[in-house]
Amino acid sequence: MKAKLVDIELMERLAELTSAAADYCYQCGTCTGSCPFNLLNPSTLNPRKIVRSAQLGLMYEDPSLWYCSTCGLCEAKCPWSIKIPDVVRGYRQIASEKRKTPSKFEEILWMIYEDGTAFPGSSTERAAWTEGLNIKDASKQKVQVLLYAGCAVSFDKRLQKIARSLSSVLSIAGVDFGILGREERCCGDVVYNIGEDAFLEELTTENIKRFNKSGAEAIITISPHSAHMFKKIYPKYGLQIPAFHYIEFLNELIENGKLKMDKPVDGEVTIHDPCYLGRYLKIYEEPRKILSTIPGLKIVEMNDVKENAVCCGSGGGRHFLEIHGERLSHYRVMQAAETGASIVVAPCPFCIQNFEDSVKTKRLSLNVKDVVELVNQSLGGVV
Amino acid sequence: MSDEVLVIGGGIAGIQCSLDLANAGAKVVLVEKSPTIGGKMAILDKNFPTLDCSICIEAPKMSEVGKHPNIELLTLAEIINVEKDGEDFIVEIYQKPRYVTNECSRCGLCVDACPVLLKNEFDYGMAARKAIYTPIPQSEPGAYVIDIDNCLNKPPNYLPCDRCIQVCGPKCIDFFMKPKIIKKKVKAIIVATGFEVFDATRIPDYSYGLHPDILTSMEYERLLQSTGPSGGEIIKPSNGHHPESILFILCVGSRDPRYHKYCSRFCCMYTIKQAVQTIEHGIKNVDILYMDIRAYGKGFDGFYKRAKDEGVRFIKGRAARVIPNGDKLRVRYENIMEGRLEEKEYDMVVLAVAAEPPPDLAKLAATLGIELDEDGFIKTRPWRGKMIATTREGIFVCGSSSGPKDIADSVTEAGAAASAALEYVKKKTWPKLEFEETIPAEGEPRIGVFICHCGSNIAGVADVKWLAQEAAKIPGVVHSEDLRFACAGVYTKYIEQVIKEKKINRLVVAACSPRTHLPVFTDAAVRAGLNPYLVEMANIRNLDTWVHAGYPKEATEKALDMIKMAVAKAKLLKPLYVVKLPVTRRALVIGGGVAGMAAAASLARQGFETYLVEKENRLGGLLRFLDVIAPEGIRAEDLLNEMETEVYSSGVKVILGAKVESVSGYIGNFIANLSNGEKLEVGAIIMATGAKVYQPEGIFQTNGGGNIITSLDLEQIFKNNSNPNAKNVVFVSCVGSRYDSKGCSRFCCQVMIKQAIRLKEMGKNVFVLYKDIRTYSRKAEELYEKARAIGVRFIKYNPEMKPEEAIRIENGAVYVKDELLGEEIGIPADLIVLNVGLTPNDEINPLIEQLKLSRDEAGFLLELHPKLGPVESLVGGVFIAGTSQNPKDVREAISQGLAAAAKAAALLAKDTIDKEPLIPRINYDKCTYCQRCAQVCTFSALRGELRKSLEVISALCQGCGNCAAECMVGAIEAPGFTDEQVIAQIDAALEDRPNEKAIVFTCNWCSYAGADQAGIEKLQYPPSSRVIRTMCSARISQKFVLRAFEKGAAVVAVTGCWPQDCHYNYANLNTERRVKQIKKILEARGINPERLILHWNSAAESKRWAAKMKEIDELIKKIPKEEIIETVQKLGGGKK
Repeated sequence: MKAKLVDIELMERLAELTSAAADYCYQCGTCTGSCPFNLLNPSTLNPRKIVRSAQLGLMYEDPSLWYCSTCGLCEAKCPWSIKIPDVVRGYRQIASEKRKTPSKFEEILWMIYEDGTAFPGSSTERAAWTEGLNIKDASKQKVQVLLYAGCAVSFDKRLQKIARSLSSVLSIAGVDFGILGREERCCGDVVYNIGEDAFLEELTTENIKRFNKSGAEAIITISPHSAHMFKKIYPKYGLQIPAFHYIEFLNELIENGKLKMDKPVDGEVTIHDPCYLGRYLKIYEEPRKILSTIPGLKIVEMNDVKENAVCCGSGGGRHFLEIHGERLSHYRVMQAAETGASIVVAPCPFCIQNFEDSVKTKRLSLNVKDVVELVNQSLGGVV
Repeated sequence: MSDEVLVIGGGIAGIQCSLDLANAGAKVVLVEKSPTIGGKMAILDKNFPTLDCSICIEAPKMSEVGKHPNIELLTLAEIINVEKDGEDFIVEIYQKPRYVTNECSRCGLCVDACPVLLKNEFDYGMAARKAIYTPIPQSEPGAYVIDIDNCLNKPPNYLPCDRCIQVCGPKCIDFFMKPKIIKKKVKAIIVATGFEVFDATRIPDYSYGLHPDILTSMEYERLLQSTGPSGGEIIKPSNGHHPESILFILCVGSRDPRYHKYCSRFCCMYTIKQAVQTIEHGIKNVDILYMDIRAYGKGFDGFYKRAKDEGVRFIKGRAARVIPNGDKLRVRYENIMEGRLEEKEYDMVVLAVAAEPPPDLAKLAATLGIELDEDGFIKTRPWRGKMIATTREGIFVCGSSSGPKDIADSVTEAGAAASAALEYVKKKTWPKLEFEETIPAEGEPRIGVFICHCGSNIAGVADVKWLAQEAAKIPGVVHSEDLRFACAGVYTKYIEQVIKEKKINRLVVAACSPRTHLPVFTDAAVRAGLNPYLVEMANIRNLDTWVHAGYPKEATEKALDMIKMAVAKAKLLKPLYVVKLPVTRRALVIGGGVAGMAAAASLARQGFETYLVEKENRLGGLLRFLDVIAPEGIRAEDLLNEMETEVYSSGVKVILGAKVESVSGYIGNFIANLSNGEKLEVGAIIMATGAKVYQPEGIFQTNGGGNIITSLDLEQIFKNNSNPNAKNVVFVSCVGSRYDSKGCSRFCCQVMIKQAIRLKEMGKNVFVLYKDIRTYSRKAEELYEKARAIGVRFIKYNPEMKPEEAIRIENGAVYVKDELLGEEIGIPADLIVLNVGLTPNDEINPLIEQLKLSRDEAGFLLELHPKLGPVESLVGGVFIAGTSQNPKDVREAISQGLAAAAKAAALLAKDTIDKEPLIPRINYDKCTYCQRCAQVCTFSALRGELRKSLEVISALCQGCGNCAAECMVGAIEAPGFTDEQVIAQIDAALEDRPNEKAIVFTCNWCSYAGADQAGIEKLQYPPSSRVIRTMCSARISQKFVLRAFEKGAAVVAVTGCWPQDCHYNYANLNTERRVKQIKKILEARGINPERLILHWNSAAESKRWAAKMKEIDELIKKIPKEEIIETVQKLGGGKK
């Protein structure tokens, strides 16, 4: 076999793209041993070797680069807390520069470019979920809070219910909120994770303009992926409006006495911590706090919670790629089912979509819900 | 009154430090917070890499502390206040009551009576103890102790329970004992408080505490221990079954910034040791999950290889998770060398937990007014490279208090700290041992026989009860008894008592090796009023139960033979008296490198006239070629200047540009002739003769491009403040280290990383090719971290290969298979730095020969004991320091220099030393003045004129007994090994079924030690040999050999050191001559001379010993009974 040559230029470029994330690594392999994708599909994805390649300035062109859902469990388990997902994104960026992005992603990028969404649908249908709700159009009038629904929620029948529940809850709390509707565009999570940075810049700049125009004082999102983008990535491109995941916002409303959940929701609920809500935004306690205030509801924890939570398999652009091998969401719903709970709560649209599929495939009698759906139920709100 | 020194902590470091101080004449107060001294070493089963039984080698030291007239031992005690008063520290010590007085006889009745059942801390809670208990059988002090917090009588309760008091025979339980505050005035303080182990529950992913079969390494060590909770059986705590597969996980809490960034240094080696033991217990699937194997010390790499050969599977990787799964433990990790995820199920998982500072160390440091480092260990002052100096003058530290350290390094530092403290001790004393010979040796022999169980080491194989019964039947034996741990303080006290009560005038102890334990029992005899030379040991452990474990019946019979032999000899023992010889109270340090400078300066400051001889014209040795010393970053020149100033200001007589050409003499009185014509008369010699830097000339071929230099060359470049003209630099580690018998050179990894950082900071691209990163020492792991943080790249090459085999240099690039990537990579390289290790200094060969020193496998000087005697040589009065012993870093070399100084100080502190009374006595009635003895004496200790005179020069005599073997008329008596005594042993050995036995004569130093070592390693061989030990094989006369054949022995073997190793100046060449001679006699009488065997065996050649014993056994089986009967007849034996 021909020797791979250490490319110092590439080494330096990767260091620059990843803030030299790979430097501290002493190659212990804890990441590979922790990777959930690798666990279900043994030895398909080796995060350590990705980091190793970055250390040595070697190209990493193995297809497994695109299997990573950037769930960040490896980073959480790494003794040095090395930002391994950043190294993955660094390599994806280099791949995109070399036009070596998988063709499916090329398609997705074009869709976002043309329709503003990664999901099949057109911007004209973005506000379809609001039918009969009479929600303010923030592109036309000033609102205090801008509710960012996101692509998945806007176009998926199941997920639309989450948005409707949230609208109901916000209305009950008397929040002045609105949506961008047709003007809303993709948050860029997938663009960011594919490593298409030039396009990301264009997209974020355009979105920030629209947000600013709304005059909103805060942005709340339904997807933790969007929340992560607006909280961690957009500020680099100039976003100044504070952004929150709706869980944070609801928690504050409840603490301030704006929401009184008094209708019992009977049953046992188990909580899945979505990667981007948990490991990326460190929001672990709030969903538990909110659910614990709902009368009748009993929380039972499943294995691998909070920082140890197993990914549903959809982050990092994985949602759009054909799934190889065993699905992570199957594994995760089985863990949920083991608790005996009747409801699994997953405050992330991607997780919900996957779990709904897996529950059906595995023939489980589990209800898949978002936190706000249960809150709304307890408030007696309508959907 | 002499000046006192306070030692805090009674682990092996504190014990050794106290002994070194006390032996050099300082009064010592040793304070230990638990009820016994012994520390962690007492908990361990065996030590690496020698597989020495840990407590067996520590217990004699513990009891020595207990008995030493210069040591005051305070257990259950803590320091509560320290104040400085002029030159003194005023120390307040709080001592908790023991509630049991020293009259305790350890009968154990109180324990049976006590109703309170508690977890035994010593067994990490895996076994139980009562509220009244003894921590270990070998406890020192030996009295039991009451755990008052858990006793029903815990105040304010007023004696609701008196069960223990009721049953106590000697009435030594006293609930009215009060705590004491003891005030001491001391000149110096030494902290030796050791380490604690990391709490593995802090890593939830490893599930420790959630499943009983996940153990810490300390818990596992107790399982291995024959006196531990499972009696030495490896069992699953969950169900008591034997596990079939075990995984050892390294770096649990170490090398992990979430817990401890530092490397805990000894875990790799003890884990390998545990794995080897596990395999030897018959468990086949033994895996070790490691990051780097840090086998840095002498013999460690060899042991690592042995583990691999024996079937331990080493997997590079770090466990991600341990998941309890019913009966099994599922472990997930990446097998890095194969680049794939593995999820395997094991029956047991052992976590090699980090060593960390004891929780109360910060409080102690505050009381002492000393600082801690960022990890919470005691901060040392790296200036002068002293790892033993704390931040406060007069307070020193040794062992793991300043960071994790293995036993050998702790013992070295203990000596170093003692040496440093001795500089503060001006007044020295040696209280006279109150010894009066009250028991007469004359008259009918009244023999006492004690048979030691040594836990299950002996009792687990031989039937000790039966042996005691049988021994009682031997004529002359008036007392015979088996004891659990004969060497433990309480038992030796018991033996003392029995001797007194029964007026025993000959003591026989059937236990372990007299080489290690004879002093323990002679001391007991002396205390009882018996002459110390009336004690004989039968080594039924090392020479019997350990090596015939599978044959309990035969081993028991052999033990009885050995006891009979010892009793037979004991009957003929005569009281002897130590000869006092003058000591020249001057020291000679050979070699002016860091070790030599440190040793010489310390000795001079302690008031000893000290010579330091250096062959170059300047002091400093290798230090002169270094720029900056890793890991602390001290400038070599600053250190050198500092140390030079120290040497000269302390009054050392420095002799530069001269070599020691020849040395003669012996302990206390050496004469060294220097190349400049000077003649030095000294009492002690420290060999600080250093090592040579490996010269890797021509090992790499380049075809243009790539400038190759050594790490020493690079150091020179740095020293000259120049910038190597290169953009891409590749380091190659382990050049001249880690292959064949060459071990790890210890210091090179940190040096290489330091250099790599420097080049990286100059803006170069730096790549390091390594086998394992061995940054084991203090702050070295942090250096490795820094190197990674700034972008130095580390590439692992095949550790099984030499660098020149694994690495190819071609067209300005280095090609190597990166074991981490699993692929060959090419690295651009304008400069290649070969990181070279050290090789032995061959210039000292003549000295080694003249002083009769030995070399180890790799050619470095051999120490007395790899764990407990790292700075002593096998020759009295000669000590070793620095890289002459093994490669080491500057800090370690300085510590070893100081430790050697402490040993020399103990020797030179007195005007005389005691000489063993082995000097021959001439029976002038028989002597024909033929001068044959004078001709063979290799020390010229016998002089006379033919047919006229003969005299013995005592000072020159070394007691080998060569003269006695040579004497044709039996006019020379070799005390301790007389003709009658040896013949009595032969006869006793051959009383029963002689045709199935071989008489094996050994010398004390090599072949007996080799046999001992075979025992330590449990190398199994058949039980047909009966060993008779003399000092030198040259003691074995024709008479002995013929006697053995006459009594029907099938085979006779004469064994000894290899001639070059002979401890008596090639006296054993006479052995060879005599054996040839006897073979001729045998042949002449028609006896097969093949039945007499001459065999050389070094102390280290345990396998060779076992193989020879096997061969002898096969020979015995081939000899027909008729032939033996015929031999007996031919020699006239049948008639008598």
